[in-house]
Amino acid sequence: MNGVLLSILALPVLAALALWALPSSTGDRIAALYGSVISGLVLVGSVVLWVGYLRPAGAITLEAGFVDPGDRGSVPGRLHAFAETDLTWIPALNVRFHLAVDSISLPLIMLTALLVFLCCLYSLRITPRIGRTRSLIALLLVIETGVIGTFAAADLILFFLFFEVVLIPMWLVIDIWGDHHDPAGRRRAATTFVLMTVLGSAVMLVGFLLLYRVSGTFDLELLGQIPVTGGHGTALAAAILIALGLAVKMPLWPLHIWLPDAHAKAPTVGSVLLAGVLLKLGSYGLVRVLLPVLPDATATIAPYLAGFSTVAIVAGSLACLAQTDVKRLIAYSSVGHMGFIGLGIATMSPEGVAGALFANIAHGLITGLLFFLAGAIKDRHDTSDLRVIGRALYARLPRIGALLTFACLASLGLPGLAGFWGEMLALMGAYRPADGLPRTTYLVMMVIAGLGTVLTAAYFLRLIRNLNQGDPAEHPATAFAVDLSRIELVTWAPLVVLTVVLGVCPWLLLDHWTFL
Amino acid sequence: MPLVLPLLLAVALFCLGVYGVLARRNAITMLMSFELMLNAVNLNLIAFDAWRLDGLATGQTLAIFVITLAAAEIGLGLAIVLLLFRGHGHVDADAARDLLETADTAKEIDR
Amino acid sequence: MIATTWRVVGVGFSVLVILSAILLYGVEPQVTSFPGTGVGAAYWTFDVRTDDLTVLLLAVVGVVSACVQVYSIAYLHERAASYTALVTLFTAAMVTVVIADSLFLLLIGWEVMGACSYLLISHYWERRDARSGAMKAFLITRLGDVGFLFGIFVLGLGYGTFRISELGAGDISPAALTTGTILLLVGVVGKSAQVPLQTWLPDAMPGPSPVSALIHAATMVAAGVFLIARLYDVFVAAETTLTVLAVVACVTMLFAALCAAAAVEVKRVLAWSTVSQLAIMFAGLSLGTADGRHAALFHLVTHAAFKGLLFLCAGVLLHQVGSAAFVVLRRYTRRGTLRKAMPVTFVTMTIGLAALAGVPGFAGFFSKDSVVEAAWHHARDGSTVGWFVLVSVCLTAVLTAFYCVRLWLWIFFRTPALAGALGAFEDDDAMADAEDPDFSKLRDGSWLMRGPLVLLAIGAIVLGYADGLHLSWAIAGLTTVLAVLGALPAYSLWRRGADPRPVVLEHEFGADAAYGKAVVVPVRWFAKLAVLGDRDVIGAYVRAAGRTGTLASQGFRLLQTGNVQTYLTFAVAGVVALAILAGVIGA
Repeated sequence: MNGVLLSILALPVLAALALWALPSSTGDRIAALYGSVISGLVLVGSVVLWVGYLRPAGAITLEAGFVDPGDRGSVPGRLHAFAETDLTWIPALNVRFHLAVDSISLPLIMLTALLVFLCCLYSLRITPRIGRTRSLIALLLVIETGVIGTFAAADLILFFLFFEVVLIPMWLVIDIWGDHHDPAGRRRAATTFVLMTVLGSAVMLVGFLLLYRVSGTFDLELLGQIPVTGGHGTALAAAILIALGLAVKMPLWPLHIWLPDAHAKAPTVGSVLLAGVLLKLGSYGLVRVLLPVLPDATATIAPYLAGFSTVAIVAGSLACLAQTDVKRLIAYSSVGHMGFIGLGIATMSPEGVAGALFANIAHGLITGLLFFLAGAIKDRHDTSDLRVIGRALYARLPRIGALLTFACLASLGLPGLAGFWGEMLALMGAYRPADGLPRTTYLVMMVIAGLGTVLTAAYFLRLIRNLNQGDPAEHPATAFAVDLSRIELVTWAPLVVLTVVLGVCPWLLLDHWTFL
Repeated sequence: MPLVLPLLLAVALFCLGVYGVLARRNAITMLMSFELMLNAVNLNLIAFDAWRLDGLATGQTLAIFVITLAAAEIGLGLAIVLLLFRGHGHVDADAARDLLETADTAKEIDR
Repeated sequence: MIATTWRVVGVGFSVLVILSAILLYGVEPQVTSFPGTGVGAAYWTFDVRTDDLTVLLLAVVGVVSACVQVYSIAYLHERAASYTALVTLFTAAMVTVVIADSLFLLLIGWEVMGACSYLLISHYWERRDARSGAMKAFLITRLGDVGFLFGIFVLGLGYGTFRISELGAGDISPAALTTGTILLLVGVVGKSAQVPLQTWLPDAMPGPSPVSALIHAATMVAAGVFLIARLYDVFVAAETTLTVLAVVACVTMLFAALCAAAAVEVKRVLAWSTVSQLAIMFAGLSLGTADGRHAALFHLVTHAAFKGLLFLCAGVLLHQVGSAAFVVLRRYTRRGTLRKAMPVTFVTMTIGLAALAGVPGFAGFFSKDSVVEAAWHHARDGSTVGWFVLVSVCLTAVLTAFYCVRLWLWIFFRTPALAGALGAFEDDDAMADAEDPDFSKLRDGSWLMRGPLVLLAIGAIVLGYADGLHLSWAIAGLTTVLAVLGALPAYSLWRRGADPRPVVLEHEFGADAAYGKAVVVPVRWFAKLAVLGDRDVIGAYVRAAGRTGTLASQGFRLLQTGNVQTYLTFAVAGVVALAILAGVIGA
């Protein structure tokens, strides 16, 4: 299985290099088709990995992974390596080329592969107006490698390396293919994005080095088995720095300021990947690096993390209520949702962490769909300003309007759709956080976060009301407003189906996190 | 001979060189001052070598190394001075300010 | 084509529900387990169960939704596909709630119902009142649902199980029990539109009338009653919660009945009466006795029949006249034509109103009496709550009779005192004298609409006897007298052509405006504040960091004089400084 992991890691970047080697006159369609095939292969590979992981015979670590569910002493987020590759890389620095996956990272890898595949497929027909699709596809593939690598890395330096690999391609995607009406704005958004995230990862790297100073190893598997105890001194400093760095990426209030601009100015595929995949790097890092490796230090900072997450939920939702731009609104909604994920992680309880992981996947699917829809609406009206687009989308674009309503309902956490379980489990985690955390504080946060869900519902309903509903007589259909095209249907159908499936059958994922 | 004498001489030579490099305007003179500084270093190396008397004669080796480098350096330096003279008609270091940073050049870069 | 398919599916599904209710009738209670999932200490399944309560509710849901689906075929023509699909989904969600043995499965059905209700209220999304009513309905029920979710946490984790059939068996601290049930009660209050979360139901009336009949009268709002009946053991154990429930119910029933007495639109009157009748059911439940629960469920069933009927009748009025406002209906009634043109509607609506008002012999009479009787028994045992409920229900009976008679007389009969002249409602109507409305098109509607009306009308009479006839003559006499007491003033006011509507009642005690000022406005302010805070506070730091970098680089650029010797001077100075520093540190 480690061969499969290595190949899904290497394939996209090699394919991207090959694509750049082709002459720049390569047709857009050919490039997109090529990208679809490659990312389709990666998707197949990741599914094969997951199936291999689930098959009892192949799951070497599964038995070791399962702990009695009642046992609350185990540390959530520990790596139970599967498909492991462990090679010496830089012996002088004690850095190893160590890759491994488990049931925490595999669903995220599948999500990444799926979203990149859908983005390439979408580009078959619909590409940013700037052109140069060949390079765009190649950059998407490089991003795919970076993200999968981050999820698969079992060595802190390797983790950092892949984490950084993602940034530059995404910067270029926003800078080159962003909103063509506003070149200065898209450049500013891209620069803010890259500077803030680079600053975050630099801080994180310092945290890693401090961690190395305390523990003497960069190996995540080893660190998971022998966590660094002690909640003060260097361990605490390392935890704070790592949390800070990952919080920029997540992003947690008040470090979220890069997000609305970056999402709003990025092209559709860029927004989908940014929201669907890149934000998960932060939350995944918190689960993988912070919780199992520095349990005591994390417990010290967890209440603050929970506090900021709760503020993120409320502030993000409030900011959504006052937005006039559909893409910015969805971007701000990500702040709120990532707040739930942060709250779940900060509870350090199995329920909360599982909720955060579930919400990761659900948010990737639902927000991906929302950004696809927002992109479709923007393409049709040449603006994403709600006031210019007008109302009564139900009359003008009935299918897209209906899908938007569906996505909004899913995103506001309607039970029976994927968005619910993550939020529910995060709140449940806050109801009963891990031992040693101040329970009363968490209860207050749970109540505030619960009210935050009402605010979430409020801004999504406001979006539906201001965009979908309204008097069609006042907002007649525009000439080129074509309803759902075939490629859009094909691209979005998997997201819709998965949203429903995960909502009805949460055990598809939850059953594999029982070892938390 | 006490070590301090050659070291004092080296210091004097070095200071002379520094003065020449920093204060003289003629580029040729500046190059000559560089040679003075290098030779001060060489003197130091030799003096310490004679003082320590290690079997490998590291100081002398290094001094020869520096002499070679100085020859190469003065070749390059004179070439630059020659080009400066051809381009500007003088070898005045103060007047050669083509790399000056002004507000205009700043804008040029920002654009 | 799609619409036809959905209609077939919808009617078929409703029939299926009825069939399963018939098949399950009398079957031993049983639980069917499905593999569950969970994480950490929380483990939940998606079990379903059947027992008497399930069968009862399945029958109610099946019959009402079948009536509504059939009725809608004739009633609704635009966007019928999505409408029928949503009504079907709604029915499925209600069935899920009814059969669930898992709190989370119940929650799924519970909230999907809310979402369907939202989408159906905004069916006429061209209209402003429909849009805002739908949004309000969803937000307020969602607020309640947050409490509901927390209640599930408290009870489920307290008892260590999320199975409904196992709740109440384990040991749990009294504080947790009370907290949990109160939190569940918040969800119930939101869903069933009780005070203080009552404002959404009257505003939900712009939705299509069949939807009002199905959702806002017979099923969804009754889900709150069902939930408490389902978890009755747990609620009975928490005495504080029952007291709170009794207070909420008593306040609500009087509040809503008073509002109904001043409303000037048929559907709004019916909506407030729904709130009031639901409160009567809750009052029955809050007694904490088996009799009380029985009476409440009895009232739920009869209420589903007659309130469904009344809303469908209102739908006919809307369909034919185009409005259900008293002002408009009066234009037709002044000539006395409304009841002659629509005899079936008139008769069935009379039956429905009679049942609602508690006229002896109709279903509502028996079920309300059983609530009164249960309260009397409880009060006789020395319970304050019992007395409280008894008095409130009696007062509500008076008010109910008042607004039923008022509604009936004003929309179907012309006022003798003002025959030919302007009546109470014509004062507000500029069009009253301008022209006579067109009577020629008024008719009862097709058999698809008449059939459900007749069926439900039969139900509104017969269901009263379904529970076996055990009448306490004293109480029957008392409620009859109370009904007459309420009817007489309505009649005398109508004879005089007067319809006094106190401002307080017309504004529905100002609750809506107060909520607007207390919640909506501050939230808007906070939203603006959040955006400004992001832009001008957090964003300012980021921009300042960027600007600092630019400024610093501009400053350092000035050192770039182009003079080699200047650079060297700095370099030498730097080396000297370093040497001195090294010396100092070394020393």
